[in-house]
Amino acid sequence: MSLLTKAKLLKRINSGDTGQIFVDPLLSDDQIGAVSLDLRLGCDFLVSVPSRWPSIEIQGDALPSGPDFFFQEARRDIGEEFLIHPSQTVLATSLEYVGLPLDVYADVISRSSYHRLGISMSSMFQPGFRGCISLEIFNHSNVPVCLVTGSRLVQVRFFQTDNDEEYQTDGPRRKYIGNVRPTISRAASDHDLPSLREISQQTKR
Amino acid sequence: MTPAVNLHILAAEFTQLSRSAFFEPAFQEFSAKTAEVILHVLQNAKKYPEEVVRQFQELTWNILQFVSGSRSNDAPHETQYVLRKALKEWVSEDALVSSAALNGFEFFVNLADFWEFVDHVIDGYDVDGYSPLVVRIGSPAAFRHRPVFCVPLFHELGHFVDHNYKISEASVLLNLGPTPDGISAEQWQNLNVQHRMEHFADLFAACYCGQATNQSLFAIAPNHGDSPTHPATDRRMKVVDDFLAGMPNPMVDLLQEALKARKQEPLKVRFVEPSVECFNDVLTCKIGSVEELYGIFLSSWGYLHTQLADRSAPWITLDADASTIEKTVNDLTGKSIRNYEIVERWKNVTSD
Repeated sequence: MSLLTKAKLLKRINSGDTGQIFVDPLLSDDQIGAVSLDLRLGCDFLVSVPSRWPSIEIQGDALPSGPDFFFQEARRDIGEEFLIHPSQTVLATSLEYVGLPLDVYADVISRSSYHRLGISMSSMFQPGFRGCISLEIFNHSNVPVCLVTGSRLVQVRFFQTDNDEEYQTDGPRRKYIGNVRPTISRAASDHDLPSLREISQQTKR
Repeated sequence: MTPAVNLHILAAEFTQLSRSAFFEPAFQEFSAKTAEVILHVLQNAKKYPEEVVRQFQELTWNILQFVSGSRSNDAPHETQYVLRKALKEWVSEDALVSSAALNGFEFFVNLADFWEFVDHVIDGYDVDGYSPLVVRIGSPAAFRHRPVFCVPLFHELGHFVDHNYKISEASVLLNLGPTPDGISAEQWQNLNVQHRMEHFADLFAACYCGQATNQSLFAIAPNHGDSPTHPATDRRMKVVDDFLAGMPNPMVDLLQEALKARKQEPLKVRFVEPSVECFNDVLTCKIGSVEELYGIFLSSWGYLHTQLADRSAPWITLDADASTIEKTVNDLTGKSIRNYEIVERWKNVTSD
């Protein structure tokens, strides 16, 4: 497995062939760095809010206390500010719609400039991924931070794998493919949960 | 719930709206000025006849629906962006495109002019030249993120353009034909105006969305016959078919003549269909021109209905239902439009 450096990134980003790393829109070529690609903060948000329910339950998303009841939509225009409060979790996405080829996966971390403000996120995306990259942003600091939609919030490192991996068809169908705005957690649809529930109930009998 | 009490409520609503977030900042000014004129009417209510106050508050309720539906969190932004572009080709002044998020399955355009009423009827209030052109369009709230399903809004925009330039009315002056037996001349004239308004709106929409216009019409009103307000669906579709195929059609010719008489551009195809083969790979379409921006509605409409029928795209798994298919296509379409807008605005600011 190898990290894609600038020369390879320049060859593969939006090359138009099946091995391309698709990025749309790529507003500025200087987003491509020595070992990473800067991505921008998108315009749609899901903001964590308290609700009448005591906790988020993931055992069955049809229940009233599923994740849907703890997040609220917000939209901004590009260039507008978005305030994230201390200890607040916000779901956002990259401005860019990204498509990874079958032999590349990606690590996403917040850029150092934002890390220093207490803003952090990290994630990874599987080979074959399609969509606006999900950004789960948390404010670790004790002051609110104003982010600007369209600003370069995260950097992505791309790694070429030894083999092609199929995102869509291997294993259970991926939950977040083709998303263009932040999506509530679908942890409740993890296929192991019914088995685990049964184990727990067996133990109790 | 007297008009006066309602006006107090409306003043508070518009004051709050003036502090809300809109994609178009002009709505904040609009809300603030509307709140101001409401307060003026309340403070001077005794000067105005009761009927004026009643009519004013009815217009204001109507406006509230559209302004509140235009807030950033509620507006169908991508569709509105394209509608604004289309409208700019017909009206030279900047127009506010506002939307009401409706609970039902309906599309309409609201043609009453609030600020014209204020200027002419609310004596003692100086509008000081403030008279924005406001296009008020209603669409289902559930279609906020579903631009493909908003094709009927181009038809509604056609009604706005018609009303603005009185095209259908002009066409009746040009050619009406003899009044048939059994109805009055006035009824015959009204019937023709109403029907020609629908034909014009269909043709207007076809300029931008091509056959998606007819297909959405057929989806909404498949077998409707003639009514006092609408021609039969099959007649409407024939007019659009002929227009798009470049075939002679008397209704098309008549409306083109009326446009010419009103010194307006002719109806013409303004779209180019971009390829959406990229949707098979769940990738956005890189729209290359404003013609392709209009054309993506037709391309996406065709792609969506093909996939709903034959499920041939590689990303459609066995367990994918119709809602998964339409969401994916609508999301890819909306994001493609949004990307075009973002690139356009970025280039406007960063190019030399």
